[in-house]
Parts: sequence; structure tokens; C-alpha cells
Amino acid sequence: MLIRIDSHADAPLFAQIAASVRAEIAAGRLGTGERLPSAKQIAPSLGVNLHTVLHAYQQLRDEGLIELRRGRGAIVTDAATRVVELRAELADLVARAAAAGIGPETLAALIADLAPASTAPAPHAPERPTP
Amino acid sequence: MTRHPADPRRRFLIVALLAPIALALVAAVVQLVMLPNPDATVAVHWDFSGTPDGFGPAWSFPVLTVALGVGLPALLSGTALASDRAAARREGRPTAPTANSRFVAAMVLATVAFLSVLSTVLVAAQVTGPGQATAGAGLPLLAAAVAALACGLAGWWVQPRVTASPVEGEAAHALDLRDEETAVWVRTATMSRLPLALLVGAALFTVALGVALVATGAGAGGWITLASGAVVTLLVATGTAYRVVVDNRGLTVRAFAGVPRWHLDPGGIRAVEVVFVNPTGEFGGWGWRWTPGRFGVITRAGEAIQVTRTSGRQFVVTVDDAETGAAVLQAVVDRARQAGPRE
Repeated sequence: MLIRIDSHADAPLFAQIAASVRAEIAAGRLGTGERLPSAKQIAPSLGVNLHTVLHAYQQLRDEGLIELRRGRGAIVTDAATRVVELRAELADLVARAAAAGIGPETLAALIADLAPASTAPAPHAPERPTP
Repeated sequence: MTRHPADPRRRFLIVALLAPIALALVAAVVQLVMLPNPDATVAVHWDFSGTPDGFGPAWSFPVLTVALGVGLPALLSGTALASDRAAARREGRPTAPTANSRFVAAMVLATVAFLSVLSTVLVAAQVTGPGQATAGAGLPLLAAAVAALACGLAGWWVQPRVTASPVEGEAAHALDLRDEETAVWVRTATMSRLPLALLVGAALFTVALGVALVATGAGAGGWITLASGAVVTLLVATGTAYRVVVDNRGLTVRAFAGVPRWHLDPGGIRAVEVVFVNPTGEFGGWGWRWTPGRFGVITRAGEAIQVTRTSGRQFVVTVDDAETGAAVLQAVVDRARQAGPRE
């Protein structure tokens, strides 16, 4: 799993970490049932605060991509499989949008507009994050 | 008479296959000749003080000698040959025994020599000795060990030296890491599923057996089994799964138990490559492996990150998606090089 962060970027560090993990899942490099390295392990490697990594993991948990279990760490859910399936169609859509002169930012805004307000599935909401 | 250079492959087959099988057959024949009555009951097992505690029919000695003397060479030389062939095919060169086939062959011969001499001396001691079935196992063990050492050394020197050329892989392409960027690459390297399941199963079984024996009051036997179980568990915990981390601090490989742990500083790294590892052919097996100038943490065959230190020594770890890991490491090494020595 590759995580990269840019200290000069506009996006907050936790969002960058979450985006890296999301990209790994979408690319199929991180599959259902696989365990993410613990936040304690990642934080010193990236030179960030432990809570920044935990924040990123919580966001991924809220998106339904990972489960956080006390003592078991962060596990990729079966949503990963569906994300990979969807990715091919999305790539198609991005290509068509580009052909029509619609950039990725516009496309992302369009998708966000189409989706209902609270899209984040939270089937594991009651569970508390692992420290 | 002109001397032709030895054919390594032929020598390998002689040492790994023909010699041990011939040795075992001779030993079995000698045992059969010595045994007046193959159905007689003899000692076949000894406890730690060397007193026999297990008895069986005399024919079990020649039968075991032949079974192991033929089975071991066939199995191990077959495995070594297959792995040599696979490596040769991959690298597009003619098949030739590797440095480790030489070692495997010598080990096979030594093992078979040990077993053959041990069983033969045990039979001889029981046939001729005054105590017959109560003969001890101390002297036979010593004789067998000496024979094994002699045969192993002979088997090693009979085979031609295989020059180990430095292994060259594909140089890593550095990840396009900007100055303000930080990256970490984490990957778990484990043995493939079947051997891992077998090892974990063996560990659990031995511990369970030990607990059961101790609970039923089997005494020393139970504790010895339990201790063996603990050793197997320790080996599984330290030798089957590793976390491979590449970050600003370099390459770190850590067993799941926490120890052992290997760390390579980016400043001490000369080159990063992706290589294809053939465990038996290049390292003589799995686990923590030393060969001249090269150390490997080997969990399986296949892609691996190979790091050459500034001293010229190489460190290899088998891991999936080695290409990405190597790319991150190369970027980190490049960055350390640009920054120059810090002190």
C-alpha cells in the first residue's frame, strides 16, 4: 500500500491519506479483507500526528470502505470489490466527459450534485475506532 | 590424459542421487546378511539416556534404510533440479546446477550416510553384542555423525565450484516524489498459503499434544513436547510473515513477532532493483538466508526487492508489488543522495 502526502497541497493531510488508501482500493491493490497498517505504524513514517492518520481511517470508515475494530485494526470491507467494478465504468465516463470538453472538476461536481445529501453509508457507525 | 572440466550436472546426479541410493542399498544388504532372523524383536527406539524404550521387528531396519535412502535423494534432487530448470528458463540460459544445488546434493549424501551407518551399526551391535536387544545408541550415533561429515564434505568437493555471479535485476525507477512530498509503502510478505497452513498446524498440534501429555501426567515426555511446540510457535511467529516498510528512513523488514527486524538506511544504499527469486536455487530454501555477499528474507518464489549496500553486500526481501516498493525506496535514496551526508 502506497500513501503519499504533500505538505504544500491545499487538501488537509488526513484527506490526502484517505485519498491514497481510496486510490489503492480502487486500483485493486488493496482488496476486501486486507488489513491496513496500524495508524501507529504509518504516522511516524509520514512524519504526521497519530490523530491525522486516525482521522483519515475514520473518514474511510464513514465511507464504508474499511471497518475499524478494536484489537483487529482496519480491515477493508467488501465495498472494495464493488468500487473496483465501478471503476471501469467511471473511467469510461471520464473519457466521454473529456471528449465532450468537460473537465474532471466539473464532472465531480456534477456527480456530487446528483447524489442525495447524505450518501455516506454507515453500517458500522456504532463501532468505535481503534486507538 | 587430458582432464575434461567436470560436468556439474552429472556430478550433481552422482552425489545427490546415485551415491546415496547405492549407499543405502549396500547398508540394507549388509543388515540383511547380519540378521539371523529378520522377524526377531530388536530395539528400534532409545530414550535420552540411551536405554532402549521401543522394540520392533528386525526387518524394520533394512526397510527404513532403503525407504529413506531412496526417497530422500529422489525427492530432494528432483526439487533442486526442477528449481534450477525453472530459473534457467526464466533467465534464458542453459540449465546448470546453482551454488545451492551443490549444497543440497552434499546434504542429501550426508543425511543418507548418517541414516545408513546408524542403522547398520545398530543392527551390528544388537546381533554381536552380549546384551543383544539392550544395546545403547551412543556409539552408533557418533559413528554415523562422523560418516555423515565425511560423506558431506566429499560430496561437496567432488562437485565443481559454481561461480556465483552477482545477481542483476531490473533497476528501480524512482517514484516521482516532489521535494515537499512524503511517501510510505507498506506491504505484508507471507509464505504462500499451503506451507503456512502446514506450519501453523504443526505448531498448534505440537502445543496441543504437549498440553494433553502434561495434563495426563506423562512427565518429561509431555514437557519436551510442549517445549518443542513453543519452539515451533516461535519459529512460525518470527519466520513466516513480515511487514515490509519503505519510508524516508529507508527499508525496514520486521517479523510479525516484532523481532527480528532489519533496517537499511537510505544513505547506505547504492542500488535498488527488482529481482525474481528462486528460493532453493539461489538461497537454498526459505527463511533467513545467507549466501556469500547476499542475505535474503525469503518467504516464497517470485518478485523481490534487492538492495545493494554501499559495501557491495546485497539484501533481498520477497514481497508482492516489489516494483512500487523499489520505486519509493529509489526515490528516498535519490533524495538522501541530493541532500548529501547530513553530519
